[in-house]
Amino acid sequence: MSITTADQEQQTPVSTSPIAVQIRHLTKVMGRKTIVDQLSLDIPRGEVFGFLGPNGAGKTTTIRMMVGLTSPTKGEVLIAGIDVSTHFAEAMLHVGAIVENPEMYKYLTGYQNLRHFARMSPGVTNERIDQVVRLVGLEQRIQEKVRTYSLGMRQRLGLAQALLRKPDVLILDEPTNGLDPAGIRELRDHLRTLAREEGLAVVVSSHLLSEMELMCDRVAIIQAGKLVDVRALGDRAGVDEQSETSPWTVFEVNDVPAAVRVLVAHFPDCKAKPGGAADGFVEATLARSDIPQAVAHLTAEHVAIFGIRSVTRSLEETFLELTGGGPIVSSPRQ
Amino acid sequence: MYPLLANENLKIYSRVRTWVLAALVLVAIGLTGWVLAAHPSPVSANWKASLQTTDASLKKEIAEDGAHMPRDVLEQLKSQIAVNQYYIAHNLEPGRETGWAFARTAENIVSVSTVFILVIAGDIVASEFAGGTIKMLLTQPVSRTRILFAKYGAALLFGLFLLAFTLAISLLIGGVLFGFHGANAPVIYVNDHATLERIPSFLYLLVQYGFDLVTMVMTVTIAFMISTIFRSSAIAITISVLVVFVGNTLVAALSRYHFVKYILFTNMNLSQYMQNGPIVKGMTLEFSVFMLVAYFVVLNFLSWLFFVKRDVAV
Ligand SMILES: Nc1ncnc2c1ncn2[C@@H]1O[C@H](COP(=O)(O)OP(=O)(O)OP(=O)(O)O)[C@@H](O)[C@H]1O
Ligand SMILES: [Mg+2]
Repeated sequence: MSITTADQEQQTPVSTSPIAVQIRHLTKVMGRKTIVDQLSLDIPRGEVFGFLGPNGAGKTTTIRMMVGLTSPTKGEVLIAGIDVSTHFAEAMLHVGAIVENPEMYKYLTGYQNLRHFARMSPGVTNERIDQVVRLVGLEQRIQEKVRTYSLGMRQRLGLAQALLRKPDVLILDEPTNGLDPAGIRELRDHLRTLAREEGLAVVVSSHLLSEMELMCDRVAIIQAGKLVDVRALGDRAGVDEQSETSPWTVFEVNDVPAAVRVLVAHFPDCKAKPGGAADGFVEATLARSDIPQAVAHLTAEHVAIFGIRSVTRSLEETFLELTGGGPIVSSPRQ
Repeated sequence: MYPLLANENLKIYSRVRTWVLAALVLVAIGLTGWVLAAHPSPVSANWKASLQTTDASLKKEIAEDGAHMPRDVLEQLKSQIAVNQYYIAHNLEPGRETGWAFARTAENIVSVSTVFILVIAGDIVASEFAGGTIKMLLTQPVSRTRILFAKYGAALLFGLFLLAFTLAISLLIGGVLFGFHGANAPVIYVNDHATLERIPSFLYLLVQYGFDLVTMVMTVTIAFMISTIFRSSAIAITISVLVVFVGNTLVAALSRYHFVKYILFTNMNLSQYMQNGPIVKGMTLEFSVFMLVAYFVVLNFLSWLFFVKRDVAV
């Protein structure tokens, strides 16, 4: 997926609003199960946004409602300000999507598949088809039947399909599924270029947490259909100041139980507990400005401090913490 | 609309299966032709003379007793004479196969074509669900109603194609094997008032195919509706074929019951009003046409409802 920026001359979007996708109180009830529960989110242009959650959290169901495959029980999805439920065709003019696996017509060639979808969107020329084929690096195999494609090649063809009509919003459900490491890297770079330079809003869901960290600007953590947290992954440095959860501070001390007692007594919200790799460590969530005070209290209570350091949690740890350590598959599904 | 129809046609005609079905129709007609060509009726040298003799005696009978005969018997005799004169004038031996006569025989192969039309129409929506491609198809900037309409149109076009193919191949094979003459040779049949009718071969053939066309449209409509319900191609096709065949069989078996006239299959073959009389006594052409239109509207509405309102969870 080599990138030629000139390939993607994004037309200036019709809507001037910087918000590409607005999700409002989105709810899906099937039978007696609430699969998506009062989800509200704004996704601006120029951002790679991730949906993260354990199996069955409702990520795919949310995406299905965003692209009109499933109708919401309650709430609405606006794409470029257009309601997907009431103005489906107009809204989809701004969307390119792959939902779960990129299923194409196996008895047609890759090129015939693209022609097929090109006919369904206004203004997609043959030159545009050639452009996206080059963009996803399928030139060599595009005239072959999709039956002969590997999963990764189908994923590339699916992406080509999603980009055909120069969408404002690109929605990819588990896009790295089936890609080789080089392919994942290409995709990642490509999505970021699309977001940065073409101003697309890119929405991805993935099981690979580490990958989400590398790919996304922000992630929404979803559990049991509920939005648990939205976290910015500021320049991939892990947790940043705006985040709702503070970083951990680790103290190396001589008396762990005493240290825990002292910290909890003075900072009731600090979740102090024995921690770290070896004995003799205490960890607590403290605001940066509280650390000197904490040191003073510990010293006053005769706890000897040998070292202090700040630890940022990986998204995975935070994720497990937020979702109560529920099961999560951290390798691609077959 | 046209690009969507082009897409659906692309998907039908780029599958090998479609052409295998067409080839099977060709083989069926070819085999029929081969069997008929291999067993010709014996040639009689003086068939013209014997026809002349028959006509002479018929004319004599009319001249002598014509005044006392019932009208339809008289008609029948006159019709018989006219047919014989046609045979003599056009040098056509009665009972000898011609291209056009063969095409009339081969019209029975349309029931095979119907099964194949069921396969394509029963598959056209279900296969998108089975292959998962429905997700791609329904996330394009085109309303579901228009997509459904294009699919229905493509299924009807395939039905039309297969009927035209059956007719053309019958005429071609018949013509090659038995000669292209006989287009105007009279066909005699019993009409729905139990009297004899006589029309030219080519017209008879066209009328038969006209009735087949009506049956085809209804067949496609049923299969299409079934196709929008199931997510498996195999199940949708099997159910479509079963419904049509069980339906037709049941209707024939239960024709003495009055309620049968409200069943779609009783009304699907309009040729009953040209020949043989209606399946259920008292049915009229107007009644059948009304029933067909009603079923057409209801079935298509159901297809639309299933397709447009449904959550796609493939
Ligand atoms: N058609 C359906 N009928 C009933 N329940 C469903 C249906 N589709 C999904 N569900 C349920 O909804 C929940 C959310 O499913 P969804 O596919 O959205 O999860 P997900 O977050 O995409 O999971 P994964 O990470 O495994 O892809 C699951 O519990 C699933 O069992
Ligand atoms: Mg999913």
